[in-house]
Amino acid sequence: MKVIEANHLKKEYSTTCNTVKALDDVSITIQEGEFVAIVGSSGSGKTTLLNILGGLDIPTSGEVRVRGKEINKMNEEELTIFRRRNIGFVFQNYNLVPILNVLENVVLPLNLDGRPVDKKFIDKIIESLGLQSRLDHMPNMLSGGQQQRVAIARALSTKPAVILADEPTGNLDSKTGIEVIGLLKASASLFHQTIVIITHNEEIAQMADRIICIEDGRITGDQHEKQ
Amino acid sequence: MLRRNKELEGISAALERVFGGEKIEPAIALKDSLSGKIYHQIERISDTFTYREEALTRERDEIKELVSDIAHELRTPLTNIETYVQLLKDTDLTREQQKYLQAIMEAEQNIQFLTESFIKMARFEIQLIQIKKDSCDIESTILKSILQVKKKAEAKNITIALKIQKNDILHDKNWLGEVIVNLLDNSIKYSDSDAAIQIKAIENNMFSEIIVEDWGRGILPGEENLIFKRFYRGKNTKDTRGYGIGLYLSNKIIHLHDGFMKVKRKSRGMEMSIFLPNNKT
Repeated sequence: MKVIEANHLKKEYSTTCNTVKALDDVSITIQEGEFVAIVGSSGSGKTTLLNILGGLDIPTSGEVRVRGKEINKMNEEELTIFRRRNIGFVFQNYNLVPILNVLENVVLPLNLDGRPVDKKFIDKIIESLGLQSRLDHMPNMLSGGQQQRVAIARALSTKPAVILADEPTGNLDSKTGIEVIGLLKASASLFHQTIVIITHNEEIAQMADRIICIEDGRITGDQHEKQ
Repeated sequence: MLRRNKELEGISAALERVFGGEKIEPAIALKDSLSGKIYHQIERISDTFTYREEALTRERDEIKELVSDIAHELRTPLTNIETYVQLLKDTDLTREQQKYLQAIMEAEQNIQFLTESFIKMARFEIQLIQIKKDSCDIESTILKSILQVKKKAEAKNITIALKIQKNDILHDKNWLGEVIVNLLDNSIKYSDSDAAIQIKAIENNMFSEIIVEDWGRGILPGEENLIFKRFYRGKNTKDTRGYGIGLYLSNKIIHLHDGFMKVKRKSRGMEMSIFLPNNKT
């Protein structure tokens, strides 16, 4: 089943004298349960692509479908709700809420959506990410690797259709980065989650089922692994 | 209005549980209202879901059991072939006959290896095999594994060095031992004579890591994740015998330990890592 389908995406930024093409006719399809890494040098357009796939940015032309729904036709409010229910984000700088403890951070998206907290499911996520002894810790008491695991738990808590992660290991040393991705991969298969990560770390990209290379706004390689 | 909201919340909670694959309890009182009707419909969906999933799981397990049974049934005739071939070997044979017999013996051993692998794979998948984390002494498990491949290593004059920086790693000694034997076996197979292999056990942040490093043939760029797929054989391995089963099974065993495996290509040879969760304190 296709979770994400993007067709002929273009994103241009115009200044008075020239136009910069951040994305130049990009089409990709991501299947349910895939673990995809997008790699490319900085300025290649990979973050723009991820933001457009997640509805954080609007393409100049082209369409994006998430679970069959065309997201660029939605208005701002619909999009916000759609994102909250279908997409989990993980950022390089974790973006945890500093005044909430670990558990409160993890269930925050559920509370925002007024959804009941499925205690059993949350316990399972917390256990799979090894956070059970840190539930009442505040984010500033945690190491980078621990904070990122909380952010992953938070992204998983709403059972989103897809998790998008922009340089999730960018602030971690390389060993910790590998361990966090190892955990992310294990929880992805445990919860049948689709994951797209951006990374410029070759070693981390190699842990994915599929590697998409992007250069100058175009896909230059797609090592497609059939499930 | 308040009651209505409460009913809707009940429905949302019920749907959430259906979505999570749980069974929902039947409504206590049958209410002749729209929300009562919807709740009833959710129950029906939940039942259909459960029924279909059970049917699918059953069917899948039956197929896997069948594979395992077929493989199991092959064991006896294979043993017979082996016995008779042995008997034949002890008789007077011409050179040519010896050559043919040798070919039969090799083929028989291949089938035997494949059969055992199929039985193992099928059993893993229907979860007939349970991982029992019954040992904390990684050094002893690794030493036993080294002992098992000693002959092969000596035949190629390959030295195996062991460095234990962290010994206290919880694991299933039989199954993890099998994984390590497998990795060592690969390293020996794809290294030249007089080469070296190094095993290390170290502790990281969240995981302990067991590394098997060699200076052998290694893998090609882009094969890092492929080599763990079932029946995948590295592009570098074409002239050696193998089926692409060992790493697939190893990876499965490590998954059942709540860990993961990773390979790192080096300019010469490679580094295979097993990550196992650190013991809970």
